[in-house]
Amino acid sequence: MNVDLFFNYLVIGLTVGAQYAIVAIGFNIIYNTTGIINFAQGDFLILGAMVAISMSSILPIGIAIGVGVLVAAVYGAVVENVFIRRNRSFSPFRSVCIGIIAALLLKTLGIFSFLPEGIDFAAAFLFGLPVGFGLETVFRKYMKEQTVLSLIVLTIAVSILTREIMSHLWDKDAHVLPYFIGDSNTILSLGSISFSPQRIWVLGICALLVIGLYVFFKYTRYGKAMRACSLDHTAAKLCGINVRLMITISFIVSAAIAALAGSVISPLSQTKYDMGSVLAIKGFSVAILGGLGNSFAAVAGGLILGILEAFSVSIFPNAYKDVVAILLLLLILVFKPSGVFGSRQASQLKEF
Amino acid sequence: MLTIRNLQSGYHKLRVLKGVSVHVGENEIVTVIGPNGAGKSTLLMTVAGILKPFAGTVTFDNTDLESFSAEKRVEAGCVLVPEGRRVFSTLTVKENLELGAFLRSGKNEKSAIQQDIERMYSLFPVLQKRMKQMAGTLSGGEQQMLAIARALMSRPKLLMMDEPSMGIAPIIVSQIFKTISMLREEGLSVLLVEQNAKKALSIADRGYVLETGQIVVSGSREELLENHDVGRAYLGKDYSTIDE
Ligand SMILES: Nc1ncnc2c1ncn2[C@@H]1O[C@H](COP(=O)(O)OP(=O)(O)OP(=O)(O)O)[C@@H](O)[C@H]1O
Ligand SMILES: [Mg+2]
Repeated sequence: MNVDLFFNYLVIGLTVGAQYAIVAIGFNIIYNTTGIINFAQGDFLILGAMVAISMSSILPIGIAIGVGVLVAAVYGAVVENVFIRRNRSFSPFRSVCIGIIAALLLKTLGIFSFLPEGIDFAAAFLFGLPVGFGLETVFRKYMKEQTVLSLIVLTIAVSILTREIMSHLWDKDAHVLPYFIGDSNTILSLGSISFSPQRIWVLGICALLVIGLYVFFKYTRYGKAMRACSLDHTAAKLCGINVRLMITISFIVSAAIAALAGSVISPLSQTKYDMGSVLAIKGFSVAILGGLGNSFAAVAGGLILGILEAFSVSIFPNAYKDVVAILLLLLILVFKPSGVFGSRQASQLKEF
Repeated sequence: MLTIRNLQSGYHKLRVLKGVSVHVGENEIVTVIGPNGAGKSTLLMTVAGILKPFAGTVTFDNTDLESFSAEKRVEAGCVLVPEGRRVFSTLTVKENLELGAFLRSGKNEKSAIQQDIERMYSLFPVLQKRMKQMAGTLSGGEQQMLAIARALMSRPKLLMMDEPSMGIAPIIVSQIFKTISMLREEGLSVLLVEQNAKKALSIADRGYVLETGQIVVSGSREELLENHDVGRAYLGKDYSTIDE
């Protein structure tokens, strides 16, 4: 392999890896406040990018991405409220959310397809919303404290649900966001290496996200409170910290950063309704590689996996690219379950 | 200040407290002593809003706390230093103190919080020396001081402490208790739970003895010190004690 090719692979690896890093950081943020691995993390990313793509046809690209991030953030909050939080008092917000999900399912199943377009949607909501309030009234009494494991399984359900909803709200095709500068033929040359300027965008925005998150967790009141929650919920409550709110914020932040990363990389790697699950697996591998909960290690881990994948293409057929992540995951789990950068002590302290 | 009436509480179906009534007056130090498993921690955790009572009422500052979440109780000025200290181990000493003041978020609070941190450093000078260190690296006694200081950062009216002397050298315990007495002079009310009855009664005005979820004796410090049963069971009057 010559030097130019080497650097080309490196740049590709870094951009793809940056995306994995952001997904892994999202895993970590939620894991830290709740102990849950949120397997819907990759779907948050796709959802945000899909919304941005749709909006980009009517709005300037920056604003379109902003809308995508916002929608993903709200969706993150909804997921936390509806599926994760155990709260036995009646919650109108949760009722409405369940209602909307019910409506979308009704629409998806085509129950009202005999009605004209538009009216069928209204009909679905007309039936869905009372269903939401009904379910909330009947089932909230039976909600129990769930184990971490059952909540993790629940996030897999959320992931499937999200994917199905996306496949119907949009379609099953691959979409792309336009390039921020120029088009797919625009090329930036650095000596003899050349690459799309979009890759600079991806690396730049992901770097900014990482720095932003560092500042947030290190210096802000809410950031510190979230770190406190990750150590001891009871002690945090005794400090007057609203632990539930911190958990909601962790879902919002995870979803928002995923959506942003998903949008900037969309022009390069396309966006398709079902890509979230592969991303989740890779993000999870990276999070484990770095040692769960350690976000700086996640950055290193993400870049490592991205680069490994990029170079694997030069040795193995392209189809084997995804195997790299799984292989890596297996190796880590066998030889160093606490993660390459994780301390053994920290992993022993965790609940499972 | 705090009135607990007929409190029943516990875990799931296990009823630990079987109707406990305790009162803490304005500016008073009240202690609850009792053996392992008596339900002392259960009592404080219930008052702090971490555990939900099965029955009974907790009134603080003439307000029924029933509908108050743990956070709202802190806001109301009723704060607990939990058993085993529970400092945030990977956060620095200073960050721990800042989190104690989490609810004080107003515009002009920032400098007030900074002043309070300085005050904590003057109350517990060792914390200043360790301010940038992770709380988990402190010694047991230092962690206890940090836990108390963190609780004080919320500017409570009532400070509840669960076995602050546990696993700490007697000389440090004396120091901590001296600080507590001093804070009382400044208007703080204290509910102190202890196994170390002798130490607790050295600063308390009144006390209760809790055994298997029930108050068996109560009275002023003098009454408890003279009470025959209390003396034998908790003050080691019939046989010499090891500590202090
Ligand atoms: N989380 C829990 N789940 C179930 N039972 C518990 C739990 N915590 C405590 N208990 C039980 O409640 C009873 C009272 O416990 P508690 O911690 O209140 O006692 P204590 O007086 O604080 O004792 P110690 O002096 O050892 O701290 C004990 O029998 C204990 O086994
Ligand atoms: Mg106890």
